[in-house]
Amino acid sequence: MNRIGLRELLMDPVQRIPRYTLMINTMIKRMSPGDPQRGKLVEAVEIASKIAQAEVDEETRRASVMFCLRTTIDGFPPGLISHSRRLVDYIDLEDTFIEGLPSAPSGTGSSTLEPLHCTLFLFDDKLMVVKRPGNGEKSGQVLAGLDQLEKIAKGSGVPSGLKKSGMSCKGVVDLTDVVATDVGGAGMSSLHRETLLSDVRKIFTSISRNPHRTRLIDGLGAHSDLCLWCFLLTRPISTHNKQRSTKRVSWRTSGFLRQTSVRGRVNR
Amino acid sequence: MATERSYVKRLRTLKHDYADPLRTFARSKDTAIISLYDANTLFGNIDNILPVNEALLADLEKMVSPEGPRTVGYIGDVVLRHFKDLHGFEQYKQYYVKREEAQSIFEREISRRSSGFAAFVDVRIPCVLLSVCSSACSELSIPLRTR
Repeated sequence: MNRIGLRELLMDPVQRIPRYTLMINTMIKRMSPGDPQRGKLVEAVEIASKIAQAEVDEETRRASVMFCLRTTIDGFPPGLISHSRRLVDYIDLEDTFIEGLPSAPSGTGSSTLEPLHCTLFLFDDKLMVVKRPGNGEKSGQVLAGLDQLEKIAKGSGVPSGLKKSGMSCKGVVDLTDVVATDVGGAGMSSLHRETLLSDVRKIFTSISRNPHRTRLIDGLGAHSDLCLWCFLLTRPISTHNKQRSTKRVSWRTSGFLRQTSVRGRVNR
Repeated sequence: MATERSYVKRLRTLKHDYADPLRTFARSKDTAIISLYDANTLFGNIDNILPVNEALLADLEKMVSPEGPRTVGYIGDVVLRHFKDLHGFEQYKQYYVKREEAQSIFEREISRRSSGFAAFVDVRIPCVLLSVCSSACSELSIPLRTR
């Protein structure tokens, strides 16, 4: 029976790319300068080195993301900074009330019904709700300096000149407390709805540290407090930075975000 | 080429003997040795990495055959195609992303005395036997994993 230890096997891919660069460099040295294959190996070894470099970059990038958030967001909970926590994605949205939903407050002044401009930051175990200043003209990405971070990701790391952006942390919800509910809506077929909910379930299972504890409630129930699905569904959950489109989509969230802050489910 | 062959063999062992069974068992609470999240983090995108190296190995083997120069070309052609045109090795970046966390999951699980993980990894119970055990446990409602 094959008795190679799992620990070694797991490390193999990490060491593989540096080994390629070593092997290819050795080949290059032994080739005559005029060999037509030589230039190709030189090009390949450059690509390999860049891939190997990514291992180092990822840790720096993760730390830089946390630094950006802490610096720009008022009331950012220091406890959120952890070496193992990863920012999965974020999205700007507008919190508005949909009439007839249980989450809509009754008999309040019209001023509270103004849309609330938020950005949701999704970590692999928490969801942070952040209010953006003004009428939400600037995206959360720009306010937090995350756009700069992506531009200069390779290199110095942390963007300079960050300051408080006017964003304020409204609360942090444990992903296991999130209830993703279908709040209905006109024009959506039940088949479509089924697909959406099963996608949410898949996404949660892949990002959450405790997928078993994540509750997902189908249909229009008493728990219709979060249309998180519209956020999650439209976002490909990528584990590392792909080219991010700069165009952010706004989604309506039926008053949930406003309610988290009054319900005491936050800042635990 | 010899190192590539042995590396692909090790990758296959990692996927077939460890990743696949651990992830399959993790799907059901009764048979889980480690949680699905842990299993997914531990093995990362190993499923995507294996075909990349299998493809490289296949081309290297073609290269040394008499048909080699005509079909796949020489070493520079093969290596550059796999690193540049096919972009396959970009998959490794994703594998790197969660290594730190994977490491801590590994250490945590291996040091838990009651965990089936340590037994699975050290004793290397053949997969067939383990799957029999785990389905038996499942029928008798005995969790393989004790917290």
